[in-house]
Amino acid sequence: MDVNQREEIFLQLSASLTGIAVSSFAPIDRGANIPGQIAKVGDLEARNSPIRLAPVYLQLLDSWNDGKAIEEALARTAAIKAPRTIQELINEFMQHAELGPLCKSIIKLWYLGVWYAPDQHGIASHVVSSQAYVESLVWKVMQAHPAGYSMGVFGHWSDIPPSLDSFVTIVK
Amino acid sequence: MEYMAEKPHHRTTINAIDGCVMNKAINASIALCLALFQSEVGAQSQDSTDLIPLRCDIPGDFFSPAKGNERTLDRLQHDFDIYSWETFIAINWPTISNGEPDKSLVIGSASNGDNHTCWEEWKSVLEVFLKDGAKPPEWDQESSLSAMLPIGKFEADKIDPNKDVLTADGKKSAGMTVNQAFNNPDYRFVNKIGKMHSWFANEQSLDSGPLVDRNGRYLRYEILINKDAFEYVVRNRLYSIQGQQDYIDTNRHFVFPSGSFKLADESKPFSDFEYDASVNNRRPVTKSDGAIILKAAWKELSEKEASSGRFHTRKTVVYTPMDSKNNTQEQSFRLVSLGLVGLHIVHKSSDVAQWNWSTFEHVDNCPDFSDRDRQFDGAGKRIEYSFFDPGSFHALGQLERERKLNIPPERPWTPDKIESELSRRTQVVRMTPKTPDVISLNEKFHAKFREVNVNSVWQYYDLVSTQWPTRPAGFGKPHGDKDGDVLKHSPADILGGPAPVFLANTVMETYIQGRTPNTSSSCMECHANALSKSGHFSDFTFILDRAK
Repeated sequence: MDVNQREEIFLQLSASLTGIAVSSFAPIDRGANIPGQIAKVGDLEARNSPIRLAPVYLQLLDSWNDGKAIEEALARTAAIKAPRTIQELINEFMQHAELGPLCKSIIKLWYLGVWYAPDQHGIASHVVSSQAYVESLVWKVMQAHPAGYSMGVFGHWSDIPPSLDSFVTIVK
Repeated sequence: MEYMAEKPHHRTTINAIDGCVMNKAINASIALCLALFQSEVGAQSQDSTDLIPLRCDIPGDFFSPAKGNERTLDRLQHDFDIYSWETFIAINWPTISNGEPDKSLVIGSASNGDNHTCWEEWKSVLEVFLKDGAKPPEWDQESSLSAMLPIGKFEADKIDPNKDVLTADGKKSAGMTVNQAFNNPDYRFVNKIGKMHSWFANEQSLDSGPLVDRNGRYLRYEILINKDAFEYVVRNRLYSIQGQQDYIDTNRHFVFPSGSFKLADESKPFSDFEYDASVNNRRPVTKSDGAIILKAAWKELSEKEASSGRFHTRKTVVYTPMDSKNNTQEQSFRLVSLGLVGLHIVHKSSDVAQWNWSTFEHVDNCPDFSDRDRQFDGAGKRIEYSFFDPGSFHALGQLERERKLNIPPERPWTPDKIESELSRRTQVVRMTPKTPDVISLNEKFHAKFREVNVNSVWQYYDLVSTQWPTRPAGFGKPHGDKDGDVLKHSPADILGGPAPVFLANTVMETYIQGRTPNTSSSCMECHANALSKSGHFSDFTFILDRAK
């Protein structure tokens, strides 16, 4: 599995875990049909490019427990074949002693932009970055915006918020 | 592209181009060059920058030959940067006096390497948003000075049309009145000094202050709009506050017209950013230009600079208003040589509803931050910049000199005078260097200008970058549904993921360079806050706020 495939599998797994389509939580990659393009996190900053969260989150997951858990989760996701569904696989993961907490950490990363080490239940380590905070799904699913940063135009607060599908696409 | 050769215009005519009367032999050789360019391109791959011809038609939209997995962020950025250069070339093409390009000439082909440009014939916003919300003259009609008065925000800023225009040093009459100068097509007219709406409008909380060059002269700015933008404003009466309110009541959102390409086959499905390029060599044929808004930065040239052959130069009347808060007790008009040092080009197009944001600078403006300590080039020659003095920077202590970077002079500001103290002259450095790809692209286009004329002034301009939305509003929709209405298509994502995140021109966003979210210069993030005078989102442009 090369880095691009690996990120793609991670995005598929993340979509199933969050219930949100990939295009909603990896918008930079999926905006202009830009394919996965892995670069070091430091390089992305240096290039003044929009930050792509998937590589950053994968780096965090790789750093936990030598990356064995995320490697296993991705390998099993990549190997899935019909008629088995990814939802069945995730149900299995959630019962697993290591993969269950790992999946919960992935959900928290996308929804909150905060890193919770899987073996430190309920203890937030840190906000991953300002971009992770701004792009957190929690704001989008509540049809709102983070404190201190808004994409709405002047006066948006006096209008009914845009529909949920303006913010995210729900996986059916 | 249609021509309107007979239409008069008050600013400039092609006859005014210095030394630009070309004989038949030169014309013939240029025609041959053009033919060679065209034929070369037809035979080569689509994305070979080396072979992009110099063309006078504006790209109607962004276009990338890359498909599928070739479309990386870097590749699309590269193609946006090519789009920016092609737009720069088209709008700086020699004009036939009404803003339309003269197809018989080539950019920079005159003996002095310079030419009057198409965009300089576009409408200044001062000509569009008039007193009491009056309707401006038609596109091809001349504006009158009296209709534009008062220029600026205050009644105190009324211009006396019979006042004498002074020479560049302000010491004697240039032999004409303000009104005579205004109506002389050889001269342009520029008044804007600060970054914001007028000159030193004290009530502007965002006024980031003026920029003073190494000669002690204040920079001047102007904002112009093209015909499509002008006609949208006039057709919908957006030049008046009442007209804006009426428009919003009926249409809900302001949406400037988008440029577009002709489709080779309208019935064929196609993808975003993709068109059938085979119909016109590398680039599809433009169907409509769409709205373009420009901001130009000019500096007063010294005699040495004016004769250097490095600047696009125009004789211009610069106006300094009376401003008692800044010890400017009397309005003044001086006839000077202005050199172009910065140009923002903002273009709305069908696939890029949040507009394409291109910005160019003169190569001599300033060093990168990392080069601020360099005083000499490789040949041991002292490096000279327009807005940075390595010598006086070096003469200060480490802490003090760092503090002086990108800081405006303290008040009072006196733009009709020369700032004699070196410490009041801005020390500008570029905080975000150009990418290696842009540097390489710039070199290729410079070489292309030199192929036409080794003296071309256009070889001394660099693209800084192009900011574009990675999630443009309406993306993925059928072409007919791409109506450019950002609020309708992306109400929760107005910006659409700008790339690069931050972008600054060192002579226009001098004091807000950097990478601090919500603070540092980002074209789209700032302009997303733009409102009409009626208080509504104005499609990323601040010009509607000028309505009376």
